[in-house]
Amino acid sequence: MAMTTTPEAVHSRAEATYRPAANRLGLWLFLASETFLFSAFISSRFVVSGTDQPEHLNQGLALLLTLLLLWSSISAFRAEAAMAHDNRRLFHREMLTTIVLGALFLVGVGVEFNEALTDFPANTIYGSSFFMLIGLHAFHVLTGILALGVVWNLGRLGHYGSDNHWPVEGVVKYWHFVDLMWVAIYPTLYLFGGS
Amino acid sequence: MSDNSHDTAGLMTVIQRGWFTAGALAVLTLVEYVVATTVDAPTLWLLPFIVAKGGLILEVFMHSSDLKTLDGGNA
Amino acid sequence: MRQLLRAVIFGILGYLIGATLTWLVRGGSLGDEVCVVFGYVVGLVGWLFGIGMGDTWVREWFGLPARESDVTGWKRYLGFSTDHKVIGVQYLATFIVVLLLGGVAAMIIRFELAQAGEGILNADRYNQVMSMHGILMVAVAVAAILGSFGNYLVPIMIGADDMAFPRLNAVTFWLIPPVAIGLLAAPTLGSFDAGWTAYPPLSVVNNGGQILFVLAVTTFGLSSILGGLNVITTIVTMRAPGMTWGRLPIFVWAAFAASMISLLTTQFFAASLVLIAMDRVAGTVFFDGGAGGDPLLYQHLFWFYSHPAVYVMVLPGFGLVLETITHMSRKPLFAYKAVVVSLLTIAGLSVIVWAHHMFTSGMAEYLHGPFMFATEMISVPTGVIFLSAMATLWRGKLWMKTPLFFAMIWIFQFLMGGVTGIFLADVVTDVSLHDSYFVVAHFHYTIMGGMIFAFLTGIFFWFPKITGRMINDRLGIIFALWLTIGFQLTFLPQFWLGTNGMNRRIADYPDQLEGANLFSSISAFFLGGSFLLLIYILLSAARRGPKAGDNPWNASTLEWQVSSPPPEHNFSGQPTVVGHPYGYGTADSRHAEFAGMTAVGLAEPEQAGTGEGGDNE
Repeated sequence: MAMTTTPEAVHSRAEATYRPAANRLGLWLFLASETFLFSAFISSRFVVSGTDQPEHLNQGLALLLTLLLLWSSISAFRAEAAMAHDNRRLFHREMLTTIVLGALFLVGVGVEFNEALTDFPANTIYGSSFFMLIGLHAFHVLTGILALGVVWNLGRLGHYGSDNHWPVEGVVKYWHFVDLMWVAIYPTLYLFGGS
Repeated sequence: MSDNSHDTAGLMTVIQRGWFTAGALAVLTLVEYVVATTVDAPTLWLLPFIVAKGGLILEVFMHSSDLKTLDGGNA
Repeated sequence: MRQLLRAVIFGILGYLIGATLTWLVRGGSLGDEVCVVFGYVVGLVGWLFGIGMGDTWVREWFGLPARESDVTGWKRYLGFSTDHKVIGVQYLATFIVVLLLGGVAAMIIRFELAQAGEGILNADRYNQVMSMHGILMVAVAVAAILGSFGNYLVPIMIGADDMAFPRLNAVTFWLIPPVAIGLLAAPTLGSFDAGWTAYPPLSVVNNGGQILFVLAVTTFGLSSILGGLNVITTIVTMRAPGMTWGRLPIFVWAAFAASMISLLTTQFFAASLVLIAMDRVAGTVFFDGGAGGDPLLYQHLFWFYSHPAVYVMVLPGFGLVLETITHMSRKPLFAYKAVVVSLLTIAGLSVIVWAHHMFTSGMAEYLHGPFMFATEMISVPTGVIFLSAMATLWRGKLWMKTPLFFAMIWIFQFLMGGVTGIFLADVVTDVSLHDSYFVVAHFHYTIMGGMIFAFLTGIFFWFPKITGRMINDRLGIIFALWLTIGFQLTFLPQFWLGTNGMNRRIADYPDQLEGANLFSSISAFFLGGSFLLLIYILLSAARRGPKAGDNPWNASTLEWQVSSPPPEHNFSGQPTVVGHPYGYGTADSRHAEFAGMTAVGLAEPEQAGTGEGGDNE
């Protein structure tokens, strides 16, 4: 069972990888499926604890995280637009910005978790939903950062151009999806309960 | 790559659209927060914000219109 | 072979690394469930990497050229192959093995139930065997048709050279062995005994084997989701020129509808199991009533997937049976458009009926009426599919070979399942019948009757295409009759047992039910024995059956217009579809043309030499 690296094999792969219609539809279907996963957890939160929320929520931090994620959205958007117009320098810079902002978001989640552990630990019913939803979202941010890193590196090595940048488009779409989920999670955990 | 000046102008137009959207999202987020902290039982008040923000992200950032052209083209 | 060995080694190493690291970080003991969880996750990654995902895919993520496996011959079936036909056969073989394993568990269950009181198993052991039987068979039912025939047939039927995402397809299959290993390894942690439904609170507090159940079944869900994604994308984007939505073979439509369900709703099953895992290892309280949680939440999440899953099981079955019936009665499929609409309607309705599994659970009263109504609505599109099958057979030139035998028996079996289902959908009768053997008999008629019989229909119909050899038809018909008679004798008495007070999932029952149980058990062994004949039929036909030729059934769809087995990229030239797939009985109706060839898929070809059409007109 020998492995070979023939030019033909590489060529056929490259062709199979660049099929925009199939790739786009595949990603949209995956995101639709993910939406069901998030809605399962979001509806669980309402089933077990309605819109109740504890006193000690760090509203300022949550608002900051929301804006951080929004900022990373625009930088990701700029990175994609830059690659679509063959502007490598801008692509490079904006991808890095997005990754750094994503990492900052994760740090913020860490701080938030640390406070939550004393105020509403996982063995309270709000805490269960809180850790589950924020944890799931943070996991998606983490995978998004890893994927952004891979695409950034490949872009740096010159794999993409204006007519061949599906991976950039795909990873950025995924990143926006993670933001989209936050649009639902943020009010679910922080705002619906009122002040 | 062929026509650099044209490309740059096109890029600026796209990016400007992104900034407008991001600005709108930021404003919506802040207003959403204010509504949530001032109104009693704000759930119903917040739903329009979620729909508007989600719609903007889907339409501008995620290019949801590309779903219309996905069929293999022989239907 | 080397790939497989490497995958096993990487999997074990991954498990050890993940478990040990977790143990070092948090202390406790290496057998703790947290360590098992992280060990399993890292082990799964190692397994996938070892089997070939690393070589053919992950390398590209780092800018390295992908390494393709250049294995040929039978060894392709033991490695990471991206050919949809190889993957289809891998699914087929794997799930026949799992089906037999689940069957052995069924035999043990019937052995225990042959007599009242405690026999070979104590009550705990019985629950473990029953749970194992349940989850193995559910896995077979969900993935056997969609995985094997969905992969093998869909691309050829629509005139494509492969699935839309070949490498993802291979990953989807190679996620299955860890599922089997995880489930079968559960006894090392004390097994799981909460049934295939894994209801809390039991599934939160029972033995450690439950965590392996959760991990394995979540992996299985991931595989279903990715498989569904691939099938839908293939159907939407890869159709040959001229293959409009109105010309798709009916199995493709069925696979499409089933894939929609599994793509979207499977996430709810994954979510419910993740919540179980969280309650077990992370100290959350979702299902702990004392701390404000709600065990009923699990049932809602679980049935939101698991009822639609029934249609993931049977919709592809509908497709296989309707294909077989239309080809073997030499008539166009009756009411093609209505069948398509019905398939999609069933997929749509399937997500608003779940709580009919919960009429006795204590959920809110006002939910009973709507869920009863929605459930009974489903019988309308299902009825359309029955009518299509019957009307296609009506005054057809029936070609009474094994596949058509199975297809016709399927009609009876699923009718039985459907009719008895009405009593369970109806709140007033369900209150007494819930969790009785009536339910057991009902779902064996629908799932085994509706899915396994359709699976066998498909195996007997497409075996010549897959292997290039014919099956011994006489033995096939003997098997069909043996299986069917054994099936009736086993499960008909269980309707009676259920109405007379025998509970499901309990190792013991009232003494006066002993006679019927003994009868059912003996019949079950008779039924189980028939599968030995199936294995003999398949193996002997694969080894020395007569050559089948390209198109032994003279069928019109695309897969029959290529050699048996099909060549590597399915078609030598690009096929162009020019007509409806089932133009039987219409002069000069054609389905497809190939570049450089004259018309194929003629509507009324001569009957093949291998058999004769019965003349019923």
